[in-house]
Amino acid sequence: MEASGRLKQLMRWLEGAMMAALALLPLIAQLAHQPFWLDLATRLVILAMAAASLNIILGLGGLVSFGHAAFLGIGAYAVGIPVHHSIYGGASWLASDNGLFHFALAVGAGALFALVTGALSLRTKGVHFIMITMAFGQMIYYLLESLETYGGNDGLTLDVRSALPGIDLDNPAQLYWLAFVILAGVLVMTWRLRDARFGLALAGARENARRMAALGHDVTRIRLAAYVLAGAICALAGALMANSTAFITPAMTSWPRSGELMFMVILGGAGRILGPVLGAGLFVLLEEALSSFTTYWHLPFGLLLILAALWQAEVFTTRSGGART
Amino acid sequence: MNDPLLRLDDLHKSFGGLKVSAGVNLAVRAGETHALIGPNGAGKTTLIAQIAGELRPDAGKIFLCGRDITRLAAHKRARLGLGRAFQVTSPMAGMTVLDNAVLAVMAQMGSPLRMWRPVRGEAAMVEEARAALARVGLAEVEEEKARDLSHGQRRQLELAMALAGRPRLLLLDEPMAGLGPRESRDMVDLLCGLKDHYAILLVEHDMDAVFALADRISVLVAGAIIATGTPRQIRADAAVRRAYLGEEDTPC
Amino acid sequence: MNTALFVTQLVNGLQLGVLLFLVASGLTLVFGILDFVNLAHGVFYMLGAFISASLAALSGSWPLGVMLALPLVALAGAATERLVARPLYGKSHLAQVLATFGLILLADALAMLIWGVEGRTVALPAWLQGRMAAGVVELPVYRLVIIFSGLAVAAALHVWVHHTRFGMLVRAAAANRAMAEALGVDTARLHAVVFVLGAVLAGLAGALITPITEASLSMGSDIIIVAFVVIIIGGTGSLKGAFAAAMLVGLVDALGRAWLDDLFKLAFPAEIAETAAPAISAMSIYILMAAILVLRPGGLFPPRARGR
Repeated sequence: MEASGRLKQLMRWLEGAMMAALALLPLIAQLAHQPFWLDLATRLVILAMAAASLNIILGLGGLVSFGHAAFLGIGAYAVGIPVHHSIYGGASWLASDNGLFHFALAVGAGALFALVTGALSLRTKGVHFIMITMAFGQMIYYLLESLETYGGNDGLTLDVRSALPGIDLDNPAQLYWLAFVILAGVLVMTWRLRDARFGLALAGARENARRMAALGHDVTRIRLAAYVLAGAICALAGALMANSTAFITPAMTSWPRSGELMFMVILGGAGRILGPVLGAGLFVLLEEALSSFTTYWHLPFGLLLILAALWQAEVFTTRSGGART
Repeated sequence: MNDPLLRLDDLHKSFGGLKVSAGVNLAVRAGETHALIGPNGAGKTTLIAQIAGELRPDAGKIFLCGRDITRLAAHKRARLGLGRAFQVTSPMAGMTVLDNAVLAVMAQMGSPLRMWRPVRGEAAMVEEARAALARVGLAEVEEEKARDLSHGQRRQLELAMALAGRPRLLLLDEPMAGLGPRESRDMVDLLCGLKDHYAILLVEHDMDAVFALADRISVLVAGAIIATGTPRQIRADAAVRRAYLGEEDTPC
Repeated sequence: MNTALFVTQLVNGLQLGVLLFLVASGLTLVFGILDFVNLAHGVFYMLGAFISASLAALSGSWPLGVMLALPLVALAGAATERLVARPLYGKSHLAQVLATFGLILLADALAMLIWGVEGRTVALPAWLQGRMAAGVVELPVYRLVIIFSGLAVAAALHVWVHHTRFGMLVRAAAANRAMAEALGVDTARLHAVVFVLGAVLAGLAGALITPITEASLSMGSDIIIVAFVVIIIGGTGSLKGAFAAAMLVGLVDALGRAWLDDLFKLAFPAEIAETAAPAISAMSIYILMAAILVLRPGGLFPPRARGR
């Protein structure tokens, strides 16, 4: 975003303050006797991680993927399903409460789904790409809904949390700090990535894919790599989310959830490293504030989205040099 | 040694009922600057697109450095040594001039999937990018955004990007288009300097430039090559005069 | 293989296909001509359902309710086109996606305010109830009515697009928008008409489905994805493609749901079949979409590359 110097400084200050506050949040919440803040912050951090993963393909890569929430679900059920079987039996090859197994399964499943659907989706562009990613995302939603064994539409409660060596995920502060550390890792990765060959190539493909091909770059391969990376990270966020809420439903993967992730990325500044944190923070706060006023909080939220999109449309279009996806 | 760097073998391409390439035969030898001229509508753009890999010919073959590239993807051709400057300048507009050049170099230098080390820290790549920019005279503006360049500078950037990839054959699509007289002279000088190092297929309308630069000229009319020869031979060719230069015109 | 079941499912598939065509036809034109990503298209479907249900209750006549609902949906479509879509033509798809996404949230919240959280049901008039004997089976009359109405609309659309002057302009704009503008076609009016027409068709589909299922808040969001699948399979901008794809999707979905179970039980042990079959049938249309994309990334009738 071509923000003026002042605005950029303000954003940086906000981002810095937010990161500092988040790092210390369990202590702050305890001091203020507001355990609810910790719940909110955990949700924020996990959503920020999901948004940060989307930032790689959307912010850096310019790929408008509208099915990203599917990875949250994949990661969540990669925890929920093994836990379910570890308690209720069946599918012994899958049954486990081992957190490392859960996380590995989440990342693996997310990466695999991203690889297969990405390979198909990235053959298209523009309007088609948006629709196809949306369709694949929704496919996961219907798949999860159809799995009666795991609750289907009613969702699945996790009777135990993932068991990790040395970390007790039943302790909200420990879970929070684990999530925060992982988020920090993801942000550092995005930061390095952006200035490395990969980030430059992604940005180049966003600006002018045809020219990149003429130069000799395999644009599809570059984008697919980004897509798989983003999917894997988002699935990890989903696994953390399952542990945080201890209750998962297919609704986590519906396409309006994808829209919200996209909103977080855009709101915080697409392509900015800490943008997703800011965006997730604003979203979570907005959701809390508006829903405490009215159950119809989607109304002002929707209106805000429309106005923001109309206002920012020029910025979106010129930022990518007029290039459309 | 005697094998041409680029060989087009009886290329055919039709769009619906319209025959745009009607059996095109062309060869560009190593070290030669070969100009492709022809009236508007002759099919030059379609031919360039087929050579570059953006269009698949209906029939015929294309050979680059002896290899059959007819079915090869566009990005792979660049890897094999085909450098291209577009007719309508097409840089990565929102990125800096240096970044544009670095991307061109990067395509030939190992995997783009490196995610940790900052690109600006890769001295070899950056130096080579800077060298390409210096060669075309854009060294001063390396931090400018490509979209902020003047038209002439954008033309120079097109050339720099084609050169930065260490090509063996340069495909230059109307590099003089839209340039004023002084800029045109500069561009011709620039291209003259490149003649010794690269084989060039030059598509141009500017006849002064063509006759100043070309070792050989092929004339494309209605989808087929009607004549190939040295500039002198082409000037003297009656069919060419009729079809393209016109009876009265005596190009200097 | 039970013939009666087969015919019933066939009819269900055709009915679903016809309704999908009504929703997807307008949307594919909007994509093809306006290059506009309208996520909110499902809103018109939902509005058609709710408004017709309310007007039917008020007036006591369901057909009247449907007929009066359509102009109101048209109005909503016109307002949307003018206020949200038009400022965003030619702008980045991302902006369009965000704006129409916001519109969905807004519309859903408004609908919840007006009609409440519960769905609305509508009773068919007596003359549309009942079943008809067709050889081995008895088929609900209403489903056949839907199928024939949908086919009639499809035929009318075909005639309009191929045999009227305005339809020719629509085709021209779909083939080459810039050229159409250069030739002096009043594209603003064209865009508005296409947009509103799409909205009305979607609204009609919503009104038609209500007596069978019900008008519900989530119906818009649910149908939009399937409409997208139809457009992807059929090819953007192609009415022919939308029709073929809609029928294909409808039949695959209906027949899949009925038969995948049996098919799987033939090939796999019962335990696997029981979980796998519903899962695969839920995903069937997406698997179909993926399969077609592998062979033809542009869909069955892809938009031509030139002139965009």
